[in-house]
Amino acid sequence: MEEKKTFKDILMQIWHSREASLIIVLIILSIIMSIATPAFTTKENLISFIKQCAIGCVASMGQTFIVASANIDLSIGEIMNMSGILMAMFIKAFTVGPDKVLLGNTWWGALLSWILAMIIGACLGLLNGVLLTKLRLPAFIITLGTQYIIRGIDQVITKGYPVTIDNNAVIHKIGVGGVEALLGLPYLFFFVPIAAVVGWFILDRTVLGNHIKALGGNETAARLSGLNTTKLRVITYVICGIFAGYSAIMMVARLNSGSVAGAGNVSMDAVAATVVGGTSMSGGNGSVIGTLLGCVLMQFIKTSMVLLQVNMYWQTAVIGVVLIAVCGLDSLTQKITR
Amino acid sequence: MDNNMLLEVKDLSKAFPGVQALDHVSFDLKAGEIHCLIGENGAGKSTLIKCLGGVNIPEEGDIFINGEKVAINDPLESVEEGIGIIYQEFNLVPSLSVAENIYLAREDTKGKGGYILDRKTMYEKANAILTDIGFRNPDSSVMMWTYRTSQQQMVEIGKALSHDSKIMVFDEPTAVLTERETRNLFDVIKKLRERGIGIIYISHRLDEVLELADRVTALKDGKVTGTVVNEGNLNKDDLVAMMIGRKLEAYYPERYDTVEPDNVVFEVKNLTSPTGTFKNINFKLRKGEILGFSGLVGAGRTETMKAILGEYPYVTGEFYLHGEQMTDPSPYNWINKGLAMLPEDRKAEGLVLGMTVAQNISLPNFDKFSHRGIVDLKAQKQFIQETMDKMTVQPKDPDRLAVYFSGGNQQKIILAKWLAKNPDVLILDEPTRGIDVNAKMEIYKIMNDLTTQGISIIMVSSEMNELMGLCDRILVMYEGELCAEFTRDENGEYSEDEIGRAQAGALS
Repeated sequence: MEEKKTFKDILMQIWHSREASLIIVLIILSIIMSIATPAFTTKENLISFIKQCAIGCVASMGQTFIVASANIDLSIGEIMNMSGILMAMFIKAFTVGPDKVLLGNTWWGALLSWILAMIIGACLGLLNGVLLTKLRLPAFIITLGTQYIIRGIDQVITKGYPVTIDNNAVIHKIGVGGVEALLGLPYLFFFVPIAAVVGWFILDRTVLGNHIKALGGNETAARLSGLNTTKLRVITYVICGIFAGYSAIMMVARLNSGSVAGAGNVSMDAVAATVVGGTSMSGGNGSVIGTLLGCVLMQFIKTSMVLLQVNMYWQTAVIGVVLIAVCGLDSLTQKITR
Repeated sequence: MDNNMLLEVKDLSKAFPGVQALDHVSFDLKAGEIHCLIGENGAGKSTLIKCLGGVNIPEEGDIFINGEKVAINDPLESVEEGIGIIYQEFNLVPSLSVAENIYLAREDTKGKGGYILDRKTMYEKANAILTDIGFRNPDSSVMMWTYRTSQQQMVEIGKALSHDSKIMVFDEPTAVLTERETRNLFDVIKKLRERGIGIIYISHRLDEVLELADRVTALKDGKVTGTVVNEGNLNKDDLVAMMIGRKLEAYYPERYDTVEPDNVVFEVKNLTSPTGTFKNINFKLRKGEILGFSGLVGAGRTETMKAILGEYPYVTGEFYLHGEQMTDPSPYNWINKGLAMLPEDRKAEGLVLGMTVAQNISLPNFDKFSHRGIVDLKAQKQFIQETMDKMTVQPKDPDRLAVYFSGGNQQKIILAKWLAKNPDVLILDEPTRGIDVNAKMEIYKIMNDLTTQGISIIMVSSEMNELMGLCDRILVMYEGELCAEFTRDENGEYSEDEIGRAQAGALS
């Protein structure tokens, strides 16, 4: 029986879909901002927004997989840093100078180093997953531990100095170039939709994605149904590591270096974006697109505050407020409807 | 070997620390038969089912399916042997769709390699299965959590059918259902029987057993007390007799005459939950009395006690302790007024398992050996020693972690903790569940002795025998309501049959 949807039904559907609500919030905020300040609608603003936002977006997608399986990964930032450092070393070793082309200074070289970064990410994810399932410790402890371990190794490798890439034209293009890229958008931008489509497809459309959600939603049911929950957990961490490695090239390109501190606080930012994007911390569901929108919303608010010339130190506090407000609203409305 | 049997269980034994859960149990099931399992809580029904489901591994005995000996070492093997179990706790993933739940781990795929979900096919197949078991216009694409409990149960049945199960086990399936949903379920179960599926049905509700059963087997303390064929000639008394198995044993202490009939210590008026878990509960507790709360699982006894404690929602209800109304019930407020409760789940709610006995006993008692927030360690040590002596906690080691004590001693630790607060009223929810006979006897003796100190006790128990052996009065709850009150007759005895009937809602 097809029932005709009333306007109210459609509103309720939007209210229940986190992705739709986030898009509407973003549209409303954009309208307000474009009225409030002319600086908002400039191309420069768009490009700088994309550059600030893109890296976090991709890194957060990996966290979404982990959170959907009812776990957490605190080591994403460190995985990015290590992948970035080794990648930068690789590029440096194969770069001679702007005019003398060696492998590192070509698109092929960039692609190769990118793949290398993803393999390193996958290996570190594998380490997390194996430790987690063998030692039967909470993910919080394991990834907190590996976070320190990886950071320590990074410090040993780099002796604390950033591994800078000065004269690599391709990497420079990816990181800084704007106008010369496709459709007038910076190269960094194009990394995001590719990752989003892949992530969305795996989590939403494949058997693997479904099993990851089953693992997060009810581990007992998953096991009793015959799923290899140990293997699944390991795979989830490998996926997260690959996303971290994927975003490492973006980070290296933007900073022109790989360093111990390049990724900053990305692990926790990723948790925040994931949760704002509608993935429940207790697992069972997960939306890569929601996470993307969550990231965009948080960066949007930061950027807007800069444009409105609010004291920049308030930005961090506002992110916390947004996180608690979005989740609190969700929790309160759920209480009412149930 | 009788080859007509679909399932045969021979001399199955399984022990847990302190309890012989199954003691050489033999049981069989034919195709197209409903075989009911009855017995009190702790009789071993669930353990037997878990052995079939590969959750528990029996220490002794064999399982035969279609005359062939099988080993069931994990849940997957059970499924592969064609056994489908609908546990009381459903094994569903709330955030996946109904169809994805039914086909979890056996998804339909499209394209090469079997990586990409074919949701459309899964929805169609799941809809067909659900229609087959009486769902009207099912939509298996919706999220599992949107389904009501009764619908979730149907999904579990559908899941078992999709595995091509030849044996289906229902563990108290109606405990969570309304009357109409129960009728529906019975229709489904009868339909499954017609198709030649062998069904094991566990229930406390004797009406249901009489309606469904082709045969009935009763368990008691891990042993089979009898198997009878139901040809419409059985009645509830027969079943109750099988369940109770033997006469009341002499391990109940001679009850002291401590009740002061006119001295009401505690009173509950008009207690009702928002969802009807308990309705219009009124009772009085007299000084020195042991008042029993009887009823089936799901009758609302535990919830009633939790509501009194302020740990479960209620819409109306008044509580009076010594005639003084408690308007803001909470564990903290109650203990300060003189009422303490030993929760049903002592491991989750009664003790901090990872702390020592001394720490556990100290928790609510720091005021006794501290001054302005500073603990007097010497006084604390002495206090712990005295308290443990009084309760004869074994081993008498205050620094041992609570988790390492036996069930009986854990219960004594909780009792010790509260008794140090000198309560007037104690609520004990299933105080002897899962502990061995000797420990039970000790708990009974302690309870009996406490009443001589003027303490009044409310005891919730699913074991009819211990209520009859110990209580001065027994109240019976059925589907959220107090339906009967029993006192001892002139010989000092209770009428078992009457209580059993009241529990099953069969009082005329």
